Amino acid sequence: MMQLSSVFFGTAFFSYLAATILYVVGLTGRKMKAQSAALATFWTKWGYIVVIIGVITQALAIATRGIYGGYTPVSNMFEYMSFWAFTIMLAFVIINAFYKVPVLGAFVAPIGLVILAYASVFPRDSKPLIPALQSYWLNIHVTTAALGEGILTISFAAGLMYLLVTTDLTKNSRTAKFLEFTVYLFFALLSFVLTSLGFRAAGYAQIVSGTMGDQLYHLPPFIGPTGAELGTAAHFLGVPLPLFDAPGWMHAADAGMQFNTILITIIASLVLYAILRLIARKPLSMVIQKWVSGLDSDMLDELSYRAIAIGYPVFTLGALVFAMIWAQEAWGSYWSWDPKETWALITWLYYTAYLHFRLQRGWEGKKTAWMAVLGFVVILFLLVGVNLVISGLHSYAKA
Amino acid sequence: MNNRKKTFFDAIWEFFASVKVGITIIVLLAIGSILGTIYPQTNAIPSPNPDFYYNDTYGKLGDLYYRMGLADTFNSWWYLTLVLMLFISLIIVSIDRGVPLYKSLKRQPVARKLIAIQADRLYTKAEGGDAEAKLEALAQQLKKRRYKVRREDGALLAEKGRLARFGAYVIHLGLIITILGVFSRLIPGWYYTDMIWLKEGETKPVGNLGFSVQNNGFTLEFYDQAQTRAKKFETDAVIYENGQATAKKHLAVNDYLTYKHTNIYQNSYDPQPMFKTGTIELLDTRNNNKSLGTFVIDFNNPQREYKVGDYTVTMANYFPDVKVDPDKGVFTNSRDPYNPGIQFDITGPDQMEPARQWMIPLAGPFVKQMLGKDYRFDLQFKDVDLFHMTGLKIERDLGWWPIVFPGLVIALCGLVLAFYFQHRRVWARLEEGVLHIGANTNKHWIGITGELNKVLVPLGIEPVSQKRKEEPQQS
Repeated sequence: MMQLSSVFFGTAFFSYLAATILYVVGLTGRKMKAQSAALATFWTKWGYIVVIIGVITQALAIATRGIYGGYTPVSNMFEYMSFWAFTIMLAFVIINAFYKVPVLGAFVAPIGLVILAYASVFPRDSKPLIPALQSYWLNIHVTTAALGEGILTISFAAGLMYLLVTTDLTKNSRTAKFLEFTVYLFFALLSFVLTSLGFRAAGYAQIVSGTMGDQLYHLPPFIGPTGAELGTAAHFLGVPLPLFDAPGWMHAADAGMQFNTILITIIASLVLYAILRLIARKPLSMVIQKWVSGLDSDMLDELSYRAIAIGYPVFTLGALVFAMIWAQEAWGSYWSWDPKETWALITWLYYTAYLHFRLQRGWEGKKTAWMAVLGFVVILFLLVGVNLVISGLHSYAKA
Repeated sequence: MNNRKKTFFDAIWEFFASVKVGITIIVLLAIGSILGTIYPQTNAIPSPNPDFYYNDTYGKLGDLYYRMGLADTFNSWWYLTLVLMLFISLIIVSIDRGVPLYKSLKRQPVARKLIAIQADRLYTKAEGGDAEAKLEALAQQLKKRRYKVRREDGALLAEKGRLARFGAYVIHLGLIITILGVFSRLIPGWYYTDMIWLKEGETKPVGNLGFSVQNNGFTLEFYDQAQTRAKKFETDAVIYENGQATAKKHLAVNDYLTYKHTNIYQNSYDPQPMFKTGTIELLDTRNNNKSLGTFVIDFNNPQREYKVGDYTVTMANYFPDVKVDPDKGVFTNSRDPYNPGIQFDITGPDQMEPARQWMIPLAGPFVKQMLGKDYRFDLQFKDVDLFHMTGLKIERDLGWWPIVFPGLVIALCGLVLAFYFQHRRVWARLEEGVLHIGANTNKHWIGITGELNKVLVPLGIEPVSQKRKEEPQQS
């Protein structure tokens, strides 16, 4: 069952990859030749079909893994992040069926793809559930919350497209800079996934000793743990490592390792960005802007809002109400100010503010588009940041 | 009421009715909540001494965090003030806007001004033919589509989903009830919480609620040999009231017992085991460690004297949780047998003078050396029975089921109304033989356009189309 699940999972991954390529090719080809308009619809149409294939195979991957483990596979980081990628693509399939904005796929498919790839950086083995998670509420609470987050992610994609359509990137405005930075962040996430998976595939492992014990590095240890002897742990491209150690005030034993991962990600992403930038010979946001040129900005604005209007109640139900009921059942208190539930509340307050700005203060266009884009950062922190940075009652989700 | 008071009241009312103020409160609550997640709150730290914990664990920043009161953000005066302001704002906003909306919808005239109908985003007209019959047919068709149709002569108002307009206020109402439910904990007797740690067989009273809970056996299972991943931990709990066993339940995580509105949860267990009983063998070190016999100690209730063959083992000192310190000497940390240390006096046929010696099964080499090693006898564990204390959580929250939970359900209903339902209205007016039809919705214009055209086209009336681009604004 587990092998079957892996096969389905791989198929889904490559479907999303193929869909991303189909969409991007379809959109870049659109303006090049006179006869290419029809071709573009051909490409994007196939992109949509391939996305649907991906969603179906991922559903099968989730189902087979669920049969193997005996529970809905949403209990650790790998399972949850890949489930989130699934809900994003599912939300896209449904919303695109109503709104018919194929270009949306060129943004959503890469997002889903990178999140799915990011999921596979985490340990992939299926572990039996600890007592706290042995409840049918695991299925209900986590899946509903993920669905809400998936729909809200569509709002981010549409908001980003809106900003690209309406911003004059030739002028050096703050919006233009932020957009370029957003594009860079995407490549930063991509670099993290590529370096992590690359070194793992190569079987890279290096133990570095510090004053707070040994640390197993899966990336070249440019930064050692506190107190590690410099230049003695390993060689990478002829450079003796570590180059320096994590300062003592960072406290945590794995601070050096985390710091090291961040440093490598930044270096790798800058290299990747520089290469792409040299090929494009202009800001990457301008390249992407071409894909969306000619799109109806009002429609994108509406789409971004509609995704929040649909996703917000689902999120409230799954991430707050179901969470409270389960907490009452399992922990004996419906609210404990655990960091995860507090961040769910913060996310909820954020989108509540969005809705009041939009519906009561008449905000629309650029302002709400930025809010939708930033909302994705809030969700990302809720799902990833809280688990990796803050510990709490949900800390079993760390691995 | 004099003028000055009225102005003051009005000022308060206007302040809380303002959307700007409402949004500001929401944003401040979000920012405040973020501050409360930077470091663990005092209720979540594994130490009873927050004064030292934050400094020791997180350094100067942690100490500053604790001193600023952020380690207890969610009980701080400013956070609770924000929640109170949100509560007041929810009430005032809902009355300030909900009531006039209700009144205006209740009083809306059937015969709307023609110029208003013509200005509707969806508008069409039917000229010629029997306009009266068309109006009648329109009324019938709209009724079939579950519109509430009202007629005055030559005029029609069809309406459905009016409740959707109140979705936002239903959400507000649900939140008001939820917040009330949360603060019902302040009513004396409505809220009680406690952690109870029980050894096997032990009974402890639950606060002053008038009953006790007994641990009738605790089981702990792991998935793996290394005991890193718990499979289950469960307690056979019995409730006693006035000396009578009144309830029992096999408690597990996610499966609790409710007794007299009080919930008893399997919350945790003490990962450090305690000694229950041990079978100890007495060995003669002067005679090739020859076994002289065995005896059994109950560590919770040890005997004063044990007979082992011809020998007598007398307990001189018992430290259930022994600590050996070079400066402070030997003492016990607690009365729980986590790490028992016993000083025995042993006498026998060839040992008239009592031989005093220690037995500390968990002692390290350092302690062994300190306490002396060249003993006349050796005491070896042949068999030991360990147990874990079970951690039960007691939670009595009378506000949850009757107040908080319904509040949440109401808020959810409001969300569904506000975001998934629409308030649709159709007006028709017969003026000089021409039937004017206008329609309006608070959102999802595509839906009403389609629905209306399904009615209009069979009647031979020109279909409507939107005049402007779709705007999602709710009025």
